[in-house]
This record gives sequence, C-alpha cells and structure tokens, in this order.
Amino acid sequence: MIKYLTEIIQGFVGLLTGMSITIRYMFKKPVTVIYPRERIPMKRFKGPIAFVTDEKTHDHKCIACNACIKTCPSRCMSLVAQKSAADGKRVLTDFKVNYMLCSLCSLCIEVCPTDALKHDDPNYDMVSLTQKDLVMDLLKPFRDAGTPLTKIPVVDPNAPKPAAPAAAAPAAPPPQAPPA
Amino acid sequence: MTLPSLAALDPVLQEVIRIIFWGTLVILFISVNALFLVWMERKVSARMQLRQGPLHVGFQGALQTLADALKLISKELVHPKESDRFLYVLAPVLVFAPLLAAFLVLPLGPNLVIRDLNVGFLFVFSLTNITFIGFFIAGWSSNSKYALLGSMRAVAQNISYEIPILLSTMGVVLLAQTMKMSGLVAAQDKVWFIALQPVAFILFLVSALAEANRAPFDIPEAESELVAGFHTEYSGMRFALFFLGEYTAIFVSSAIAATLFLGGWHGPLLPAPFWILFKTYALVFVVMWIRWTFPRLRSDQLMGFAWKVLIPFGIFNVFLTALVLQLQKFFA
Repeated sequence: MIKYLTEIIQGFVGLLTGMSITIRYMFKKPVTVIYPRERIPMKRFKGPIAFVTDEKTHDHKCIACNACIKTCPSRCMSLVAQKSAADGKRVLTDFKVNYMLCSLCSLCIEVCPTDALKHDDPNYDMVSLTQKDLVMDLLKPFRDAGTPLTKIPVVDPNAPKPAAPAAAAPAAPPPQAPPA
Repeated sequence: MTLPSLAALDPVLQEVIRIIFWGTLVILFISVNALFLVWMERKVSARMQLRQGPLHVGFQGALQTLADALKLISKELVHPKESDRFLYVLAPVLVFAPLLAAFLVLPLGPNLVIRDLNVGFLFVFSLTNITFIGFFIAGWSSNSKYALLGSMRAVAQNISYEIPILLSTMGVVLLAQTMKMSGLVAAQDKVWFIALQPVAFILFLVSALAEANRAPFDIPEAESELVAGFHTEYSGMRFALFFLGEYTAIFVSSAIAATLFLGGWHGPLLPAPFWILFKTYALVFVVMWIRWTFPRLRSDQLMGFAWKVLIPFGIFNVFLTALVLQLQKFFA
C-alpha cells in the first residue's frame, strides 16, 4: 500500500517536472530562423573561389602565373592570358572556375604569389538548374562593376603583325575574352 | 429568440426555427474553433520545441489551418476495396454529430444556456459516448488491420476511462446537490470546486484526455504503430470530420471541466461568457501542454492506470466527500 502510494506520488512529481521543463522552453527564443528571409551569418565557411579586389586600383591582383592551375587537385580552374603590347607582361583575359569540380581545398589560395584569390562570402544557397551555371567567371564582378580590367593594352594574337599595336590598343580598352 | 414575430408563430414551428438558429451557430462555432485550436496546437508545439510553427499564411500563420481545410475539401473521397460502404460513410458523422449535444447544456452565462437540462453534464457524457461506436464502426468498415486495431484500442480505452471520469464528477455533484450545469456553476460563486475537490479535478482532466484520445493516451492513433489508427483509410472531408471531432471533444471536455471545477462563468469585472471561454481555452492549453510533454503510454500500462490508479482514487474521493458532508450535517 505504501509502495503503491509512493509510486503514484513520485510519478506525479515526475510529470510536473516534465511539464515545468516544457513550459520553460515555451518562453525561450526559437532556435530556428525563417530561412529564405533570415540567414545565420557563417563565421567559418568556405565560399566559392573569387578574386580579391585591390583597394587602390579596384582591380584584381592576378598576374596569370598559372600557379593555382598547376596546384589545383581537382583541375577545376582555367585561365587565358595574353601578352601585353606595352611591357610584354602576361595579362589575364579570362579566368574560370568549374565549381562542380572544386573541392574548396584552398590550395590555390595558399599558392598564389600575389594573394589574388580568396573564398567568396558565405553563399550556402547556391543553386543552378544547369551544369553550365556552375562554371564561374571570376572576372565577371569586375566587368559588371565597370572596372577596366587592365590598363595595359593587349596584343591581339590574330591581328596582322605589321599593324601598329600601340595605335590599335587604346581603341579597345576592355580585353576581348576569347571563346572558352 | 424573443422576437415578437416569432412568438406569434405556431410553437412547433418556433421550435424548428430555434433549432436551426442555434444549430447553425453551434456548427459555425465548432468549425472556427477547430481551425483556431489546430493553429494553436501547432504554435504551442512549435514553441515548446524551440521552433516557430506556421508563419506565412496570415498573421503568424493564423490562416494556415484554413488553407489546410481548403486542401482537404478538394481531396478525393477514397473508398477502400471491400469496405462496408454504408458504415464507412456513417462513421465520421457518428463521431462528429454527438459532440454538438454538449453545446446544448453548456452555460455561457447566468441565462445563456440553450437548454438547462436537469441531467446536465451526464447528458453530455452519455451522448458523446456514441462517438466510440463511431470509432469502432470506422475501424470495422475500413477493412484494414491498422484501422481495426486502432478502433479496438479506442473502444477498450474509452470504456475503461468512462468510469473514472464519472466517478470524479460525483464528488462535485455531492457538493452542489444538483446535476444542472447552471446549478453547478451557481454553487461555486464563493469557492471553486477545484479547491474542494483537487483530486477529482486531476482525475477528470486525465480521464478527459483519454476520452478525447489525446496524447499521452493516444494509443488508438499511435502513429508509430498503427499509421493513424481508426481513420487510416479516410481521406478528404471525412478525415477532416474526425479531426474536427477530436478538437471539438477537447473543447467540450475542457468546457465541462471549467464549468464543474473552475467556477464556470464566475470572474471579476469582465462579462460571463468571456470568463467561461477564457477558462476553457486555458484548460485546452493545459491539454496541449501535456500532449507535447509526455510520451505515449503502452496499451497495458494505459489500462492498468485506469483500473489500478484512477478508479480506486475516484471511489475513495466519492467516499470521502460523502463522509465529510454527512459529518457536517451531523454536527451542524
């Protein structure tokens, strides 16, 4: 009889304890966020590969040395560069990263001699309907911002040799991107 | 209903008009109430699990249940193969319709009762028990093992819990010396019966949970074992009727508990209907609170709890109340 009553009282106290926990939780702030409208800012998150924007020139810092392409374990990067007419330096005209293949290993960022690459802002809801959309043009943000990608005139390899390159170049400041 | 033109009519016609009027009002209230309670349940459960619940349709997702109801209306009414057509269609109606009877005797204020019957809440209990026949018919006619098992559990459970729920009300009846709902409330104008009969209140609440097939006593619907219990095979508005019935049953048992134990319409300042509704919804919240706190009981634990704990306590409570009343009479 005593065992029966103590069991009931203990059970009842246990039930009340459970209910006190749930009512306390009810007045806590929900931990979920309304996802498409709210986002949790990510602190440690590797976004897709992007170019660092130089603060002074508002240009990228890439010197087209190909170091990143050589080190890339998933072979997802490709660049096209042309020789400048003015000083003979290589000038970047096209830089593409195939995000489908990229494993976000950061090796290209570490190997870059001019620190031109970085992980982009956390973008964890990247979605595309076709594979083509995931091939990212790293020069696109600069082109969209209207930054002249390079002030150095570029030699057109298809242009006839005798034509004066210095005269032809200023007429077309944006470098023409050869078809990838 | 004291319109002058109505008084001139034939009394039978008067009664018919009265039935249609109140019936429409009650069914309207039940529908809106069920929509509100489903939304409330989702919100309460969400907050207890640190979620936000429905948010997008209407203010704080308040119209979400309306959208769900519209979806249910548009669904096809599926008949399972080899089901008993007539009983299959009848069952949801049998589950839902008797609950309307409860609103007949529910006092919203001193004179706001549709019919103040002498048998009072006993009338509600005896009529709402028809719903269990509805549950069983639903399970039997579906021709599905899950539905049949669920309905058998529902009937076993409801027969067991009918005893403690009536025993717990007996203490109140002994104190008030009446079964009339208005009389019961009037007897509580000084002190609520929850103060005099705390054990009976807890017994009533627990048994009412089991009667309404609510968690932790929802073994007839036990999702993890029985798909959805007796309404497994139902779709569309027939399923919605079961759902409507469940939430109306919660409201009805909470309203009766508020009338019997929490002083009904008594309360300071505000008008009587506000107080009875406020107390009812507070009890509905407690029911939801319990649902989202406790896990489901096993079938044999459930039966054991009714027969070994609730019924002895109920009998003891009735005995003690009667003894104290007799002693009072003896010494007074």
